[in-house]
Amino acid sequence: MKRLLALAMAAIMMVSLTACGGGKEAPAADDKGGSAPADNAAASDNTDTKDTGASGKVELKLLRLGDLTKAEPIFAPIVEQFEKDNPDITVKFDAMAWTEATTKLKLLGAQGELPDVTFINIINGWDLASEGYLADLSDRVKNDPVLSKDIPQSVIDVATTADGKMYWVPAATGAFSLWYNKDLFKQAGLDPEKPPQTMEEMISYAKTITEKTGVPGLGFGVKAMEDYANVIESFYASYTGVDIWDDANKCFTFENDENNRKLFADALEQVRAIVNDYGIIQPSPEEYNPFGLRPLFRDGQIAMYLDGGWAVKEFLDELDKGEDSKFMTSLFPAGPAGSHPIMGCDGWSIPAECKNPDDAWKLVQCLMSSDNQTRHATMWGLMPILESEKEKEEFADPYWGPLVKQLETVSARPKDKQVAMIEQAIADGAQAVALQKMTPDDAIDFMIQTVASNYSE
Amino acid sequence: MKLKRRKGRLPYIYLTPAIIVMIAIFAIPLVNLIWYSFAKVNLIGKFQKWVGFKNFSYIATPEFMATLGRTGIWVVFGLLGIFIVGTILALCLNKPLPGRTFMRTVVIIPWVIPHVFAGTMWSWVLNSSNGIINTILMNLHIIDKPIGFLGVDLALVTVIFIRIWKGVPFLVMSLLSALQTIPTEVEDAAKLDGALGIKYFTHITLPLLKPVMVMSGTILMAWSITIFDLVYVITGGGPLNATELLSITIYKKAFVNSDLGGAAAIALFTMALVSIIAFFLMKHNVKEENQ
Repeated sequence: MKRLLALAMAAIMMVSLTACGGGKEAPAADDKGGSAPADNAAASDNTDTKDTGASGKVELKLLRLGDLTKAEPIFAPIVEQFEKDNPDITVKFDAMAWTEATTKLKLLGAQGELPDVTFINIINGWDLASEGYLADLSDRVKNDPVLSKDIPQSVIDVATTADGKMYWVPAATGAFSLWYNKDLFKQAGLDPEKPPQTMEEMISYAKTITEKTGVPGLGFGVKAMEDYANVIESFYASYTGVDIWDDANKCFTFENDENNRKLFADALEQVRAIVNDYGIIQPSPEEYNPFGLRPLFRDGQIAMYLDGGWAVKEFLDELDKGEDSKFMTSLFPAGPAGSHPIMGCDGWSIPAECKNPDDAWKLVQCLMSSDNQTRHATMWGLMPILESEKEKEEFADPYWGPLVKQLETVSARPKDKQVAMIEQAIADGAQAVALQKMTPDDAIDFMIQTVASNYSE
Repeated sequence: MKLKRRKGRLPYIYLTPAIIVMIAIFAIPLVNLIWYSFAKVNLIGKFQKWVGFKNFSYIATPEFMATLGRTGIWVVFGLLGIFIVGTILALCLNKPLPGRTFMRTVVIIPWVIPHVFAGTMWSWVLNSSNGIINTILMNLHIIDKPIGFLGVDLALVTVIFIRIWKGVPFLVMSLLSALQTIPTEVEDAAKLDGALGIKYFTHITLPLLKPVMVMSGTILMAWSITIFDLVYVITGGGPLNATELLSITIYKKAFVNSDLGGAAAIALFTMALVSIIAFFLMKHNVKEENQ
């Protein structure tokens, strides 16, 4: 029944979103998602190939995932300016709830009706790309004189597959970092200007704070959800120096590498010890996913926890106090291989079957311009992703420094259509270790077996 | 002759709209479900290939058996709690007590609260750091450290308690309606015969309520097996699958593993299970009524 409802809603959605300017007859750019930029460039020279509406103008659809009431004030002025600068193009903006995106986007992709410029998140993006619904934008980014320089290489790496394809231009990123409470540091006799740099230091600081203040030094949640999997992936990359998933061979990077496996077991053992041995965390960690710890941090019930730039908007009241703010950020605590937390990376895509890919790309360029990206970032609560944004006044507050610097050493979440299933296996296995129901080795085997038995080509 | 034939068709013509609606509501989803359960289908329902009984193989795994056992505990203890609390409340609210109308309204509140909100609310109430229950118990020095209501050991008990809280109003309303149909003459006659208190309840009230109880129990059982959002919001099926019920397994198969065929197979199994139990309950009820 739920499926039918979803399909019915998706059908309504399709009626309301006449994507890519309508017509279905023209062939797809590339059955594997490649938009073949050279061909598209040729197509753009020939105005006959443009799909225009009744007004004779090119009609583009722009879709942002999220709440329309939040998105419209951000994008309405951008669209208005874009239409002024491009009088032969009109843009219709819409938004789609995150919860509906998984089914609707796929349905729209299957019908060749994805909006010309669609905001894609990781969970849906790799799946849509593997089905061939998204165009490869890597050449367009490489050939763009502004974007090729303005997007940091570390971000490009995270958004690019092993075979060099980029299906969305990163627009919303953020990496796990350490958030801490300066007041509790002071009360424990620690220097708030010198936050912990390594896992060992984080544990040592947490012990001191717990002993001296009675407040748990570290918040740590092990609820088996996506963000817990992301913390474990960050631990893994900080212990091994590599991403957890090998997207070329479609397997974990610890499956066929004994050293990585051993290091992962060490990382999981560290998680187990944090939860059980040191007495430094809040009660009932199984009740909390990492993001669920925000209220405890806000209320001073934990001194440190791991979260990303996404948390900025949650603590703005306090952060806006500037130097007087009791909250501060620091780099994700380094493991033996350094500080390599995973980075969330959503962005703008163009469908493979888009009739006006060059005009759609113009719109992406406009959205990704430094000012518009900053508008998007500040009003939505995102990280400054472009190099040209980082020195801006909007990001001058001290807490931005570590969050921005963190983007230089990030690792990637699994670049795979089954990312949700893979991350669930990671979260389930790591939770079993944290709650001492599995040894790290057993959990690693569990993750490998779970993914192997559920993976479908 | 023609008129006779036309008259013969008339009932079928009248029935056609209803039959179309019935087919749309029941038959199409059922056929769809059966079709999916024997096929490899992606998340948007795109058929990929026939896989025979492969999708049903998960049903024979120890993980699924554990889920089935857990769902059994959830249903049995949930229904037991609902019936004990619901019957007591219905009997109390059937008495001419002061404030009875107000109390009847209050009792219904858990039923009208949407599952997602109820789940979120209980997560706050039971939270070990800020939850009101732990805070009160700690402040009263009844406990030294917070109780992990949603921890591995207590999570299933906790969600069963919440299920009872949510299910009681439906039974109370059903039983109250039934209680009001018991003629006062029956009560008067029973009193004259000396049937009071428990005796009156077991020999008079309970037998008269039985048909309603069987019907309500069947509905509550079907709801309990299919409830998803209430538990998912509170625990997500965890920790360590301690609260993973059939409905959550179906969701995870479909939306986490992108395995719509596997999800359809479990859904079909669940539907068959509910239908068989409901069939025997109803059959038993009809048999008793005839006696």
